Amino acid sequence: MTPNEMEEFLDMLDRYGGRLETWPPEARAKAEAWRDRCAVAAGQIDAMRRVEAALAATRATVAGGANATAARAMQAHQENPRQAMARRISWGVAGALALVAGVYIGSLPLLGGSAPADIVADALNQSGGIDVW
Amino acid sequence: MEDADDELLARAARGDGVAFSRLVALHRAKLIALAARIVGNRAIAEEIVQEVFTRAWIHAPRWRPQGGGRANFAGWLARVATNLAIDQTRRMRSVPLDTAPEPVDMSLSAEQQLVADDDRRRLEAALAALPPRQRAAIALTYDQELSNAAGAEAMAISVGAFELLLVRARRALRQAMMEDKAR
Repeated sequence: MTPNEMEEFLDMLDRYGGRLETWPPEARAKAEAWRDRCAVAAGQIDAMRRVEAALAATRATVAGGANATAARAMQAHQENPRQAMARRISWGVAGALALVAGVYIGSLPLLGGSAPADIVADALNQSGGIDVW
Repeated sequence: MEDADDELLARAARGDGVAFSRLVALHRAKLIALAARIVGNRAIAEEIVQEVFTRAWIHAPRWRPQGGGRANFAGWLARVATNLAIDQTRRMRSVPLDTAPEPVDMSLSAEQQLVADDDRRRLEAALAALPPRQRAAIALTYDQELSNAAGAEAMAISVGAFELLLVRARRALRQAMMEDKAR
């Protein structure tokens, strides 16, 4: 192999990994030809395969524990007092704002007319003091 | 499986703890493998995955699947785990991979087993020397088994940038294996 061919081969090896069967067809054909006539190329493929085998062998294995993880996640959220307090405060503030807005809107005059509060007062007066409530 | 994730997510969003536990069981092992590869420590990886699922439970009511539910939810989990693991790695000194002892593969001869053990030690040393983002690219590809596009999404980078990280990481690991062999 020429130095340029080796460089191209190593680039492909690092791009696609050690399993030549998963490479794009054209790149795979080139790599297989180089591997068959060059021991250095074959050695580089072997090194990449050993890396990948070691990666598979050192992958952390996990058995069980999912229920405990789920329970802790749910508990952590439910028992977060700061978060619960913030939620209560935000609802309280929203309620107070809604009350103030309601009172304010109720005191505004309608388009070209009286405010809703005045209309209610007029209606009460016209009813002759009857207790409408 | 996508339907299963969609349904479980919808139930978890309504506060169904059993459905949430099932979701955790489906995704936890791969996430621990991913985080353990990046931080190099099994106990810390489990803490990271605990935090991932706490966030998942909090965000479940607001979760809206886009396209394939499993792909999206799994991708979201991988993204959060990767970010937390990279942040954690930056806060601590890199330590050797602390995984449970591997069971001896009885199909290998004693000599083959020795070679395999030797390769594992070389790999762990080489991995520990990689920058965290390169380690994350390796973990997303080999432990999480994501495509380059999905890996790029998990790291919130372009596919080209992800491939570059992966190429550099593979090169460093391959060279480490070759250098040790030459000694």
